[in-house]
Amino acid sequence: MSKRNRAIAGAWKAISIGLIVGVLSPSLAWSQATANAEGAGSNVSAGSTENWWDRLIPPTSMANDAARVDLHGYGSWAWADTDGNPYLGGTADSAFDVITGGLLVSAKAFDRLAINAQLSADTREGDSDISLERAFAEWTFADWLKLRGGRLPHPIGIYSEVLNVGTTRPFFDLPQGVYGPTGTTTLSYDGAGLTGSIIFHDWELIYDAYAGKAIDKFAAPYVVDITGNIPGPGSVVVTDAHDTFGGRLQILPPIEGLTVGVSAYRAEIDSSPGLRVERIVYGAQFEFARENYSLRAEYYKQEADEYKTNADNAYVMGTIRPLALLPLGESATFFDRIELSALWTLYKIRRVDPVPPGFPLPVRTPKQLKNHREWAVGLNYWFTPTFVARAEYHRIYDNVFAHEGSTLLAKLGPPRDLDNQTQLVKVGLDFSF
Amino acid sequence: MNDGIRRIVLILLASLLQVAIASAALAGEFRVIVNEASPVKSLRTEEVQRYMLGKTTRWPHGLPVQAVDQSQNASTRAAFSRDVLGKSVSAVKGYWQSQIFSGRGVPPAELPTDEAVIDFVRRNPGAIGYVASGTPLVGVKAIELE
Repeated sequence: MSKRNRAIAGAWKAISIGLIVGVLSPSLAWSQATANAEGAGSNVSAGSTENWWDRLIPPTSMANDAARVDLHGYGSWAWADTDGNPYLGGTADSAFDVITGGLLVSAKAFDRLAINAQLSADTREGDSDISLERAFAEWTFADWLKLRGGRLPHPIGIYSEVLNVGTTRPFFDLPQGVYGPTGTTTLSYDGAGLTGSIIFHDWELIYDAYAGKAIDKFAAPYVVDITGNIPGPGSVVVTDAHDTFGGRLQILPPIEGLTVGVSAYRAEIDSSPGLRVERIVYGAQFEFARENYSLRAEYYKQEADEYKTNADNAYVMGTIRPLALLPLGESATFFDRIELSALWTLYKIRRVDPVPPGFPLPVRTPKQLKNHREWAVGLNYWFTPTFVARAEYHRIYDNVFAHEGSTLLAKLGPPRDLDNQTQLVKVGLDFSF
Repeated sequence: MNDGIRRIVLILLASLLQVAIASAALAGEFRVIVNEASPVKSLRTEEVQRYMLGKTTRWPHGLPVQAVDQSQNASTRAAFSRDVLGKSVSAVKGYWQSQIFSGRGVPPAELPTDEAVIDFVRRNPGAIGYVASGTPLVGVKAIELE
């Protein structure tokens, strides 16, 4: 780790410890709350005169019970087995220890100030990783204008802000093209953003705009193809995406459960030494989620300027609770928790131009290292909305994500014995609190 | 009166009956309450929904909204979720999962009894909650649902 990276890591550690200590001091929050209680009471008068800036930044007030600290968490345990290539924690030898988890502390120390800090842990195939996923403060000027700063979740698409929380989705893992190690969505970003929601009659519009440095992850074939850099051991590389800026717009029409949206961002990633590649990502989301059925779809296009590389990511994912739709009377409480899920996803890399001179790779990356197609079916039993048992089957074609990590690099020439089909079975639990 | 007009009248009557039954159900199982000092007298169902789901965080008169919920198994909560939020208690919990972990909000505090909810609303000028109909209201007032 370079001196600069060590300094950044140290700074983040200090900020996170500060945040956690700060938000875990209820006495501090409580004394602040009671000190402001009278101020809250004085705001009740309905006839007070206000300037427009008073409406935007009215005095911070705090009622008796407004200060609060919440501790939440999530976890996942799974047994995963494949018939060959490793994929999503499953290996040919079966992996019993696919464990992910995280802890989130959120605090409202003042009426308008919210603070969030989240640590996450991931253990797959014997490798463990604990990271500070986010630590940010949010100041609410109004519901339509909130300022956020720190290490923030990247607002793109449906799931990027809840990447690791299994109870928010129908499968253990999110579709890999959009949410996996492709650089389409990033883990989080260090910077600042604006967000808010605007309600107009029965329509709601939620927007996000942000700028900063994103924390990115790539699967080995993609890194090699787009940058020419051969990563070290392991199949996923985490790097920085500099000068990231972008936004998301979501519209909720007055139809229960329907959301449509668009997202886009631009970033620069380090390529060969001294060379940065510009990346642009844009796409759209569709979500229609009712209590007993749902349909979600997303499409994103990713363009990298330097080697004229682009990628298409898409998925369609649906769920249904068939027995909840039947009139089963009292017994419905048991049966209506059974959910069936299905997924189809596609990820495809294309290099428009020929390989540039001096490119340190075979002239042509095998096609199977540029494509990923997958379908999956699952059976979920939701004991509660925060505790689900799952069993799922995935069929994967090609090897962008289903490969053997660093040993794959030896196979970048002719595909030889790299099997381009993989089957995955995954059984386990997701929970949150 | 021809058949067409008769049919329209019947449909209108049925609709009115349905609205009356729904209103009776709303009024019958629970009452939405706010602090006695609050200038709010009535709210549309959609407004209560936005306050309870954290979509609107400030009253028009400036105070921060402090929503308070009943415990998860309370029958009043089931009725309130169904009639006002338009979702089951489970679905509301699912909604909050996404809000919590995306860092966009936390659910209202859950209190175990009507009395605890009333006490919370009485102590907090910006509070909004609901209790079973017939619960004596002290220091709080019931508002009309439009």
